[in-house]
Amino acid sequence: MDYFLQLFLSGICIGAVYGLGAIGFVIIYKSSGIFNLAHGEMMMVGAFFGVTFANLLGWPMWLAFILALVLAAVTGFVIQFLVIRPLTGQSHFAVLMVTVGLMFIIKGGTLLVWGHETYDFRELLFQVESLEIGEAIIASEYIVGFIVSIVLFVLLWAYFSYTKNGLSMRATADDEELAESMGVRVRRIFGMSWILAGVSSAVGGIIMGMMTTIDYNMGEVGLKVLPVVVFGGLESFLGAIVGGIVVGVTGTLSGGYLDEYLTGFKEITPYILMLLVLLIKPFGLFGEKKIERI
Amino acid sequence: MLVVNNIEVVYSEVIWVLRGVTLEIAEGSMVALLGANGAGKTTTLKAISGLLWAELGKITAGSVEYGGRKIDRLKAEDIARLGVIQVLEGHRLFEHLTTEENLRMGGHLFDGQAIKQKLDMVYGYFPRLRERRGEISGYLSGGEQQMLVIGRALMSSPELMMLDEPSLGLAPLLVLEIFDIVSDINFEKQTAILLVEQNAKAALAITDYGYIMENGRVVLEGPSEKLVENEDIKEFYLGLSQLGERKSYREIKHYKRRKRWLG
Amino acid sequence: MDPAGVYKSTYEQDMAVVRTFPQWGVLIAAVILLFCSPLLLPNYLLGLMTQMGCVIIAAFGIQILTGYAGQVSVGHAAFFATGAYSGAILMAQLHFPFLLALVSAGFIAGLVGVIAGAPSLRVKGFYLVMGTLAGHYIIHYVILRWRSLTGGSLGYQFPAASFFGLSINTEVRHFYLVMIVLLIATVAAKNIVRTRMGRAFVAVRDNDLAANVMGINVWLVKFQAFFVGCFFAGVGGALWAHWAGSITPGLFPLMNGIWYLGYIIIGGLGSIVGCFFGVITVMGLMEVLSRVLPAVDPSLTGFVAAGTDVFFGLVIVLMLIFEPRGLAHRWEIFKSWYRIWPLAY
Repeated sequence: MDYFLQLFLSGICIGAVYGLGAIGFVIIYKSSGIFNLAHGEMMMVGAFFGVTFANLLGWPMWLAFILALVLAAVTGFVIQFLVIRPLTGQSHFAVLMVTVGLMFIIKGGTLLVWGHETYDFRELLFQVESLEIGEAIIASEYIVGFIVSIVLFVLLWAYFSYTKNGLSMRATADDEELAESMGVRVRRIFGMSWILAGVSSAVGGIIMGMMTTIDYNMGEVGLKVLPVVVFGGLESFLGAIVGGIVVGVTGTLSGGYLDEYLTGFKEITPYILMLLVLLIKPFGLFGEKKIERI
Repeated sequence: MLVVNNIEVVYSEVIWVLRGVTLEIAEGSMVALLGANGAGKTTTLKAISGLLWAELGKITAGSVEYGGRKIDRLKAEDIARLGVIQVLEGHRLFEHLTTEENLRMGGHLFDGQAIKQKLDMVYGYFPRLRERRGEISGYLSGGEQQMLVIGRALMSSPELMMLDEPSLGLAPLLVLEIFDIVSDINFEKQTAILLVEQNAKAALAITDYGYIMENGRVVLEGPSEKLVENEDIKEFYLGLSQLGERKSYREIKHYKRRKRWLG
Repeated sequence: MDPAGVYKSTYEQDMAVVRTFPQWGVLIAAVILLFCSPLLLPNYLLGLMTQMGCVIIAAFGIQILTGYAGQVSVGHAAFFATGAYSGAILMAQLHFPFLLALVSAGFIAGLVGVIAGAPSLRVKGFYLVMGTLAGHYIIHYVILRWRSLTGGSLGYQFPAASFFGLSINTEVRHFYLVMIVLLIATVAAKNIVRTRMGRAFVAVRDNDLAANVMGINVWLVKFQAFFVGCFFAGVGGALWAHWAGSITPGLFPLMNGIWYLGYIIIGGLGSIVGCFFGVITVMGLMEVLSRVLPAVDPSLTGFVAAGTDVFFGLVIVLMLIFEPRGLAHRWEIFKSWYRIWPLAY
């Protein structure tokens, strides 16, 4: 029972961090309709920024965090300006492939700048004691991750649902030409949404970096987050968090119990889950149904 | 107020659509822009509202002036902020947003209190929208969607509202209803209206002035009452050829009046 | 458009792929040149061309699946792997003759593709991308873990094929084998997209609701697209594995599947000749980068590993910004220019 509890709780925490990663993805999709495959790489870059400020320059963690977010915001804006903006009006498949190109560019760029070494954060974002529930222990970094995810989720969900700007973003994602014809400054909206996405990817990257080591391959984690996003629905923040937690829990549970019979099954559990959900709900658990009229 | 001065519009640098179109819309007036399919009516509207870029179109000659100011080089979002709102063809909406959210988008340039008042005003014109305010707009019927797009245009308190084929795909009774509402809007709010229509009879009935376009040119213009009396218009746009006369089959090839403006 | 003075008087002439005598002449000369190249080129280049040939065959597959039928699939590397392993296992354990193994590998990959492509019946667009991603990981997992069949991470040996006692074990022989199969595959691919099935693919890509309304069985068409696309991938995979000699699961990472999408984007979506352009350009450039640069300046070796990624990414991005219809489109423009020269248009 305690084994189960341990797995369950750590699954929730890991899942919340997956959700954090997924949120950055959802932001881009919700505000511009773009599927950003370079998301994992953006998370990695955010983590690298954080580690550079914290470890290599030795600045206090909170300062490093904020600076990393600022740099990530700039990066997001630059990406949007140089690469996404010239493609306004083209099909979403074209933009998808551009994000693939970005994926390669960012990964290669990271390798060039930071090389092959691995890095680790020396201290956490804020100090908490590790928690004990029964016999299960949840490490501090997981708790930090969980709290940050929930906070970010609430903030973003409120922003998109209740503010005027959030509404403009959702409208622009739906039909940018129409939005422009109504006086929405579409280019500015795109810039803002990529800045927002850059920031939240960086948060996700740094939190994840606190839990694992940071190296140039870390971008692969972005691909791990994709099934979570699809599972929960591409436009839904709630789906990102719920999806993350479900995927996290099933992952740890299958890893703990099934590993003896089917080694490494844990790796593909997210994908199997995702396929199952798509069978029943083709747009994810909480995703918006795409309206098509001939 | 709005002066379109001999514009030429080219798509993808090879398709020459507008070949010298001149229009004038006075403040508070209602103007009809008629013509067959492919005449260039929607292109004219997009040239005014700045949306040609999305279809790789450009104004290559002439100018568009609004309130004495040249707007042909401005971005669509700036033109909209000046008060020129185009209601796009085919009741185009933000399909995944609710009815009320669509309306709010229309009024997004204003703040909370003003938006509430405007919403009430729009619901006053279109009570059916109030019933549907929380529904996803993609699921509304065609007529309701058309009402929604006009309502959305109203939310931005336009000075000039350009309607692109508002009667498209609607039941005839609904068309009458919508045209009545458009007239009301023009009368009560002094909003200038540029109405592009295929339904020449209904359009000429409610407008003050009319322009007829063919093949990218304005071929005839005049006050609507005069246009309705015009022989050519009656023949080609109102379907009133010589009734009650025996058809002489010897003249079969000449049954079509030659259009006088081709001279 | 055809050159001046060329007119067609029968339906067959109008539908022909190669239309005039000079076109036939150029085509035959090119093929002859290709087959004479072992006399002129070093083994290393022949090996590269052999690899390109296998990849082009697989690229036909993804072009048919994604470019023509609109089903975006990132799992192509897994089908390539399926073909590779099937071919190897059929020859090594069941002692199939090479050609039979090749075709069977294609069939097996096609069947696996149909199963993996089942999500396409339910989901579209980006959700399908994810469905195929899941398909890739699951297939990869099966290949990796089914040790008894595939040898897992230890790898699998592919015995050399032999025809009439002649064993295919030199670079030159591999080259000829692959080029012959490539020729057949090109003719097949070019003609598949001109059949009723091919047109149904395009209809489903453009608007599957309308295609449904018109009487096209969209489910069947999607299955067909996956089958045909993965068949080509399987054949390409089996050929490549044969050339490589031994295979491990690590040779077929997800990135390869994404590179295939890159190939057809750069080459031109919806164009068979675009596959040639895309694969040759990208693989050629990668070779140049990774060999020539270090040869010129050895200190650049570290840079090259990271540089290839950046370079490939840049090529994709620039291509999409400036010529989203790919190199095949540029080729069409070039042909028009050439035919009407010295007139301007």
